[in-house]
Amino acid sequence: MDIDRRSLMKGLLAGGALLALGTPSWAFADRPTRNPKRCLLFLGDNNVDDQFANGVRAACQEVEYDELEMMKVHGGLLSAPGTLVSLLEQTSGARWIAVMDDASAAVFQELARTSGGRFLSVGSHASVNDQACSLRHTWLTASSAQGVGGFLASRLIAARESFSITESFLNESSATSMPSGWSASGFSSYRRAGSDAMHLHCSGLSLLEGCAQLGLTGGEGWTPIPPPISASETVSRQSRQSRQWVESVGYAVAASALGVNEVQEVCSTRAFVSRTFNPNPLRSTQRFVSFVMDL
Amino acid sequence: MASKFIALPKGVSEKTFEAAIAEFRSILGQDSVLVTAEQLAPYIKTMMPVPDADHTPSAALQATTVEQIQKIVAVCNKYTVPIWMISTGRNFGYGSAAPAERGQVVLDLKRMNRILEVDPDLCFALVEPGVTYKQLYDYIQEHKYPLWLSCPAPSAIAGPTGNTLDRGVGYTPYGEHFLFACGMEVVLANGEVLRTGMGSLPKSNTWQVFKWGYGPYLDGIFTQSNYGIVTKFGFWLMPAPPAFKPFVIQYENEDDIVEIVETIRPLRISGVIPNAIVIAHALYEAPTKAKRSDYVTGTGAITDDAVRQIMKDHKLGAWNVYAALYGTQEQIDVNWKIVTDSFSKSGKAKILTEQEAADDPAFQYRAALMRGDMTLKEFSLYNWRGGGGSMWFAPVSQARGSETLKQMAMTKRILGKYGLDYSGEFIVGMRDMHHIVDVLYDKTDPAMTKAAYQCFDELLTEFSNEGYGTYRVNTAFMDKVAHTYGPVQRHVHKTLKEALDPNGILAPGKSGIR
Repeated sequence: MDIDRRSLMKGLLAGGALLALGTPSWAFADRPTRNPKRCLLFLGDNNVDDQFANGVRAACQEVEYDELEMMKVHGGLLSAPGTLVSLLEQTSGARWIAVMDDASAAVFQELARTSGGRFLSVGSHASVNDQACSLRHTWLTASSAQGVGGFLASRLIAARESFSITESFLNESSATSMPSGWSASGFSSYRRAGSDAMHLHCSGLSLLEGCAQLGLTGGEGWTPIPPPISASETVSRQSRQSRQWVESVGYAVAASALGVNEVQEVCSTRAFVSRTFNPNPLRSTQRFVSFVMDL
Repeated sequence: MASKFIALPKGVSEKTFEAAIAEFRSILGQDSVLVTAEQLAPYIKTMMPVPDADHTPSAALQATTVEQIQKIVAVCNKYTVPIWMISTGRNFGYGSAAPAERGQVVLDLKRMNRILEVDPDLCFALVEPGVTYKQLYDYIQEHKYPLWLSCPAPSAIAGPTGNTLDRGVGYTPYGEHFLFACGMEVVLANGEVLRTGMGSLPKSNTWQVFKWGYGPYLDGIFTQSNYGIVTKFGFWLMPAPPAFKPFVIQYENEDDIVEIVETIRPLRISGVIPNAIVIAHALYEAPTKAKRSDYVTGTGAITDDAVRQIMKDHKLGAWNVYAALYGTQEQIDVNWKIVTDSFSKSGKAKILTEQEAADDPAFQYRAALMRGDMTLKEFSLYNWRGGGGSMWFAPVSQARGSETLKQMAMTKRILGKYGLDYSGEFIVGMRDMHHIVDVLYDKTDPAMTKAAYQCFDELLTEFSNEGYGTYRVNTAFMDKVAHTYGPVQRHVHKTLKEALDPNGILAPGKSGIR
């Protein structure tokens, strides 16, 4: 057990009981392999900044990462693109966790690319006034090693949210020893083979309903993924839950950025859809974009 | 077994591509050939309603010299590997930096960013493709040259080469950017280096001052095309005027667009108003000061009542006409009288000067654009609907009131059918109008994404059926727009392509040309 893993495990034990009781959970691989030496949180002056930062802090606490640097650009990137350029120049070698509105994200992506930024994940997040699915998340993720969707699904299902999460992996995992699918209590999991292999995890709705929610046509070509991933292969826990969905996103993004491994799924795309009874499903519209980037 | 690459060029095996990558690395060095998912992810995300996987590059090359590019095209020819050229890659809403087709190699020219010459007397610049407007702006300020730039909306981060080559526009009297282009250096697919116009003549010092040279004028075929890689670009700069008077004129009703255009046309053609006048709909300006969610709940397009409420709350007209006068104070005084007399005739116009509109964030960024300053405020549009979906719909019309009213009504009807808002503006050219509509949608919503695709497709179909051509479009719809211009033009484009790039290595699919 190396230092990183020790820190992680210590954090886990301090944070709560091991092994969730029938609740989908984080599924940690052997060790956090991708922990950054320097990690920065960049807040783009959006109205979700504080909640997102709370989630990031919680994740840092759990993995005992206490050197997180926080930066906030006032007025957003449309007003101060030069500030971002300077920050990018000054933080070579750092891992960035960034959150901002859609307009700033468009600028951020461009300036980061120019500065040689390497994106581990880019997520779009929305809460909408929709009874069927009040939270929507889409991620473009470099590979399943940087996956975020499973972390978030675990937290949102525990908070009884209706949601959809779609995560596209640019790189298929080549680790054949990895479990081929994510699984958790309450979810039924399916796999569609082919060059664009997809995994779909449904909770509270059928395969067909799940497909419809994601805009996928038909329910053909899917085969069930037998549950579950053996508990002995992973260390699972019920992490501290939050009723704040933005905080959960911050937590999940930070967990991935800090090197906590999810179960890696061998597929091009995976999706989680959940429908739960919520007596008060209507919420205000909030949208933001998250990045995990190495410079 | 997983591939070493996140995508492969069409028809190229992994083994062949590996060989090509090895040769690219020998030309550029290891660090300038990007192949990992993390490195390529910033090139992938687009705003179009199609899967990002459709536009995933196989690699990105970061060249710094013309000689490197000559060697790169040799490798591309050898292995039939297609490349997609970007200068700064800020083609927001038109495809961003992503290639037209999956597997193409991005040739990123951002590191070719030398300002080669700025002549303050003859008022021209010669730059490499990676130079940004901000870089040039800073250079001009630093040297205290009395020169102004003309920038598109993403001014601070975009660059003159890419914008002009895609036939983008700005908002000063030099706003029709290709009109002010003067001389290019182009690496052809066979590795030859062409200097257009006077640049072909040894010892000539007139490359950036006389556009035409001798024989057929060639610069145009390197815009919106895939016939060469532009490595140097000359263009004219505007002398800073002694005085500048921006203003906004507001109209209360959408139907007023007829009167607005009929009033503007003679002023524009005669040169009384010399810049590219913008007639912006309330919803185009609203995102700088309002949130959509404060006025709309649920699905569907925003209602006219909600638009009127936004206008009232945020002091916007249904149409907001932004223009400016340039010259000496005496010239401006004379022209201001002509302008105010013209617009005051019907009693519908509310004319606001810079002093009266100084605190208005919409006016502030419009005024900045009209003097070539750096601002990104227009991109507040992306927060209007949110979710990262945006496509510019850009049909051209005659500068006639009846035409613009018809276009606006058609656009609004089709957008409304798919639950999307009309965020549109007209930019008055010399005799035409660019009708620019940002088709904004939530890309996290599969249903809305599908609707946005269908909506855009219908817009293109219906407009072309009415004889309205689109002057610029995102990479997902290039073939469709090319088709609307008929088989003869496509055949000529293809003939040129086969002559200049027989192996089809340069940006296949650009403007529908392969």
